[in-house]
Amino acid sequence: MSGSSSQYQQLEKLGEGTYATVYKGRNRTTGELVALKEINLDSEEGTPSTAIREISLMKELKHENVVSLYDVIHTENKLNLVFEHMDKDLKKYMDSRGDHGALDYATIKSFMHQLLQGIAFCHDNRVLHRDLKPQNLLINNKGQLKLGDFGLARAFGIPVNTFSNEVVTLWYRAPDVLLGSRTYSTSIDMWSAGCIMAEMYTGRPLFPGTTNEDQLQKIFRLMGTPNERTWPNISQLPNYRSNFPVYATQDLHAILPQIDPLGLDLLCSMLQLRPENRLSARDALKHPWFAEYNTPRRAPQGLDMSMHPSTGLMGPPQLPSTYGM
Amino acid sequence: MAANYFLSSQNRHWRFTRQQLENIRLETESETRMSRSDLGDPRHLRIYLHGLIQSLGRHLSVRQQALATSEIYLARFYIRTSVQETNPYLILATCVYVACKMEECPQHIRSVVSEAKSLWPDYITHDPTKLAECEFYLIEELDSYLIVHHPYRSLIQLSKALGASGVNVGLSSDEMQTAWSVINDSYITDLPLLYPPHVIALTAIYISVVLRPPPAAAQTERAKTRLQKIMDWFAACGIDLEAVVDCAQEMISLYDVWESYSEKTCRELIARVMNGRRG
Repeated sequence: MSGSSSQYQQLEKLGEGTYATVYKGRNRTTGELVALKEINLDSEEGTPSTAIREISLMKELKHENVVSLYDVIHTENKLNLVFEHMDKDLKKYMDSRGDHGALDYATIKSFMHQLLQGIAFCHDNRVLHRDLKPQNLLINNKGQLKLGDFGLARAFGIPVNTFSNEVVTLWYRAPDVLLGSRTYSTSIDMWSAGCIMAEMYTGRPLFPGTTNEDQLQKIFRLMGTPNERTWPNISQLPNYRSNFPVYATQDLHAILPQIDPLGLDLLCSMLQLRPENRLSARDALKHPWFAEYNTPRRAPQGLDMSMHPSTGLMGPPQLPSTYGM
Repeated sequence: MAANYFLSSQNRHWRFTRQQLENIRLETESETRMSRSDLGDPRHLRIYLHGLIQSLGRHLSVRQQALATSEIYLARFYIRTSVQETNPYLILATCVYVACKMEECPQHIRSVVSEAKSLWPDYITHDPTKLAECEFYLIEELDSYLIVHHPYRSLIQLSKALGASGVNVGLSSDEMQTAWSVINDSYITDLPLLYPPHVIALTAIYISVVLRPPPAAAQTERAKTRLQKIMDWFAACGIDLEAVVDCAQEMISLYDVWESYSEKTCRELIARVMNGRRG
């Protein structure tokens, strides 16, 4: 399976991350473009945990809205991950295509549908992305959107109480995480999806906070300051302050005049402060805003849990959800 | 961990039939010109390596789940590599190190090296880069498939299902404990390479309830009825009973082999091979 690095011609540098450098590459045999993620090994840590997590998850997750890992190449002292090539990330796409970054209605709907399909697939497979942002959503010239950069992703199983709360780029970070909750789950990705949807309408980040505190303030100013009545047990979260400035809930329509009522309803269901109230990715895909995608002739292409072989004859009916860890 | 077991790489890439496994091992032997029997009974060797992983795990306070994952890595690794070609102490320390990263209970590379060195001073050096290099090699040999499904969760779910109303034959804490230990011991065998986790969990229940009932309780009518109910439930669930029986036999023969196991003999055999290679 494993190819050799000489099989790929290294082209220009696409970006540099904390533990990796990404290059554009070309398969010498087929001419196909790829993205080569070159991971440097650390003598104190060996292969970075983020890389190990990303590789192992990408080996399991195969979906048309998740970027594909083609190959893992071990060379002398480097690890090269060969990913399918995507033309741009959503951030660059908005900068280049949009009207001051804002996208048109049809594109927003298509991207949101694909984003939610990718998220739903990850969540069905018990994987949290934890770092969704426009820079991590990759777009190709066929208009496909795929989730990339699973360096912070984790499989969620037990125990939930040891999750690190230092994840998700500030602007797209869910209020429960900002408040210090360590028992977060799939709903944190849905908050990010809501922020991304709003950003596609305006071309600007919805909550561009500078610090944890400022991020919370920006969220409360728009969504209203939560309290024990609207969010039971909120006062027990580590970063909760009883003296948070009290803001009333604003009408999102004032900030997003271009959004239609159904779209606004979907957006509000994702931007719920209280994680339990946030819509799941599967339910979001059934939202009437996506009516045209949900006609029987065009069933969502995502993984349909009812089709899992595990619900067949191979085990007791109680089992399917238990096989995962 | 991630993904449904049936769609997982564990099921698609790391599950074999007994015949396939034997063929690969014969191939490995002929390629390396090393015989498995040079190190004594291969099952004794497995018991020995299992013991080493458990003691390193105890010294580092690693939770069972991560140790189980390390045992799977080790078993997979030694399908295509002869133990004689490697330093098994370094390989298993590396398996523990990678498994801890994967299961999100990371250990510092230096603490793994220093604990391993204190346990096996003849075979582990202070230099952490050796372990880092070995990690790189291990991940390659495992083809980067690192997410592993274990029977522990299936056991918990199955015991809940057995205790549910309508079935009402929940497992006692003794039975749960026995089943749990049977799962721990299953990592010494090839079962995790042959069967899905839920089959191993069922086997553990089968062994703890059917084959090892507490002597006094086994006599009563009530116990017999209960046993019948459990067997009926097994049958009603469409479980492959043949697979469960096969697994149970494997476990029983492991316990037989264990009777003649000597840690000292295994340690000396490995030492002889490793010293022979050095000289």
